[in-house]
Amino acid sequence: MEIGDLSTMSPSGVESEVAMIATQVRAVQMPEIAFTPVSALELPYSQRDAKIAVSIPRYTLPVTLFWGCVFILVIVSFLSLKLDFAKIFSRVGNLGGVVSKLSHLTSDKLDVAIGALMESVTVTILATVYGLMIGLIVGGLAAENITPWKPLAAILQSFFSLLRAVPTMIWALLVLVCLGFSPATGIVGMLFHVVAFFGRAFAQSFEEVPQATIEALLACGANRLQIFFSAIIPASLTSLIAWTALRFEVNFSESSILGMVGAGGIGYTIMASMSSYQMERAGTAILMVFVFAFSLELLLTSVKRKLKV
Amino acid sequence: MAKSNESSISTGRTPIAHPDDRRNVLVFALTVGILFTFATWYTGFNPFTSLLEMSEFGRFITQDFLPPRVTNMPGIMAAMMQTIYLALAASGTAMVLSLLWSFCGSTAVIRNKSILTLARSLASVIRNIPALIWTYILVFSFGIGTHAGYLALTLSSTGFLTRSFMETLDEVAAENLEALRATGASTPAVIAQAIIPAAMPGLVSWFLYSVELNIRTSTILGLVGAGGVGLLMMTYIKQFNYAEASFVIFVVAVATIVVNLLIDIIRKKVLA
Repeated sequence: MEIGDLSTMSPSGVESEVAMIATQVRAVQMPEIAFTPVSALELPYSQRDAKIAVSIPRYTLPVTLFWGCVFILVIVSFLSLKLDFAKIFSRVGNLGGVVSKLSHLTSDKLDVAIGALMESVTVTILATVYGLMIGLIVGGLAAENITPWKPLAAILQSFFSLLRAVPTMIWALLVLVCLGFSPATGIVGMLFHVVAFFGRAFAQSFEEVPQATIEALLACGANRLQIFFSAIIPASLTSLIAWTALRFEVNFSESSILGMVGAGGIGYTIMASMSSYQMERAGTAILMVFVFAFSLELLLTSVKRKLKV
Repeated sequence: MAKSNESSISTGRTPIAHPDDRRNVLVFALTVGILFTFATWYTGFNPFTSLLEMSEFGRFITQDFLPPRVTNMPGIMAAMMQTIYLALAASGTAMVLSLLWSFCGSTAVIRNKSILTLARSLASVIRNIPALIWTYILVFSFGIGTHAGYLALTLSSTGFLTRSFMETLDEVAAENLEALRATGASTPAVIAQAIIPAAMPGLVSWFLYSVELNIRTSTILGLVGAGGVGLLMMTYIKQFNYAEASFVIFVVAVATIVVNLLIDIIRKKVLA
C-alpha cells in the first residue's frame, strides 16, 4: 500500500481501515518495527509482507568508523594503563583462595548480618518512596508539556544532570559528615540521585502523554492540577510503575554498598568482616546480597511482563 | 509526541486512561504504603529531623568545602585520565567477552537448553553482586592498584552487557534466521549476515552506555583502593582536606558531564 493512499481516502472511511493504514504508514516510516519477530510470524499469511528482509544494511561507514575508533582508543588505554598481565595471571591463584574462603559459609553472628541486610532493604524502600514523591513533583515541573514556566523545565533538566554527575557514594560521604552513622545518611545520600533519575524519567513519561488528552481537559475548563491528576498520571501510570521498579533494583545495589564508605547496612558488614579476615562471615553476607538482589530481579521481571512494558 | 498524536487521530478517540489502570493503582499504592510504613517503623527515619540537621549541610558546604583549593593539578588530571583509561579498557574487554557470552545464551544461536541455562545464570550471578563488592574481593586478591580496578570493571560490565546483548539478540527477527537457515547457511554465516547487522544499533548504544557507566563506577572504585581519581579523593577526605577534595569532585562532575554529552553526540551520529 502506498503512503499516498491515505490522502485519497475519504474522511468518512471506515474507522478500522484508517487505523490499519495508519499502522502501515508507521511501518513504512520505521522499518525496524516491520521486523518484530513474534508478531510477524503470528500474522496470517495474507497480512505478512511479501518480502523477508535478510540483510539489513547496518555495516555502514559511520558504524565501521565508530568501531575502528573504539578499537584504537581501547588499545591506547591499555598502553597508558601499563597493566602487567604476567602479574595478574600469577595472582589468579590468590583469587581462587579468597573465593574458596568466602564460600565456607557460617551461621556465626548471622543475626547481625540479617539486621544489616534489613537496614539496607529499609533504606532502599525509604529512598525509593521519598524519591518517588519528590520525583513526581519535580517531574511535573520539568515536563515540557505541563510545566508552569518553560525555562523552569530546562533549568531543572540541567540541574538533574548536575546532581547525577557526582556519584551517590560521594553524596553519601558528604551527608555522612552532617548526619553521622545512621540510616538517615543512606536515605538522604541516595535521594540526590533518585530524585534526579525520577525527575528526568517521569518528565519523559509525562511528555509522552498525547496532547489531545490534555487539550480535551483544557477545553472542559480543567486547571493545571486537575489535568495533572486526571490525565497525566493515569495515562503515564504504567511507565511510572516500571521506572519505580527499575530504580528499586538499582537502589538496593547502591544501598548494599553504601556501608563500604562508612554508612550502615550490609556493605559495612562485608567490609568489616573482610578486613578482619573473617571471610566466612563476609561470604555469607555477600550470598545474602546476591539472593535478595536475584529474587528482586525475578519478581520485578514478572511484574514488568504483567504490565507489558 | 508525533506518534501519539497520530494514533489519536487514527482512532478518532481521545485516550484518557486505560481501564486496567484502576486495579494497578490500588496494588501499587498498597504495596508502597505497606513497605513504607514498615521501613519507617524499622529505621525510625523522620524526614523533618533530618531536614533540620541538613541545614548543617549548607554550612559545611560553604565553609569547609568551598572555595576549592588546587595544589596538585597535574596529579589530579593524571588520576582522572587513569580513570577514563580504566573505563575504556574495561568496556572494550567486556564488549568482546559479553558478545561471545551472549551468543552462548541466545536462543537464536544455541539450541542446547543446558548451555543456555548455564550461560544465563552465570551472567546473573555476576550482575547481581554489586561492582564495589567485586572490587573489594579483587583488591583483596590482586592488591591495591589499577589491576584490581580493571578486573572489577571488566567483570561487572561483562555481566551487565551480557544481559543487554542477550535481550538485543533475542529481538532479532526469527523470520530472517529461518530464511537463512533454509538456504543452508552455517551458524557463523547466520551470525555475521543476520544477527550482528540486525543487532548493530543495540550493540552500539549498549556499548556507549557501558562506557558512560564505567566512568561513573571507576570514580568510586578508588574508594576501596582500585586506583584512579576515587583513590585520590578518598585520601583527601580521610585527611579532612575537604577543600582539595571538593576540587576533585568538581573535576569528576565536569568529566562525567562532558563524556555524557560526547556520547550523546556520537550515538546520534553513528545511528543516524
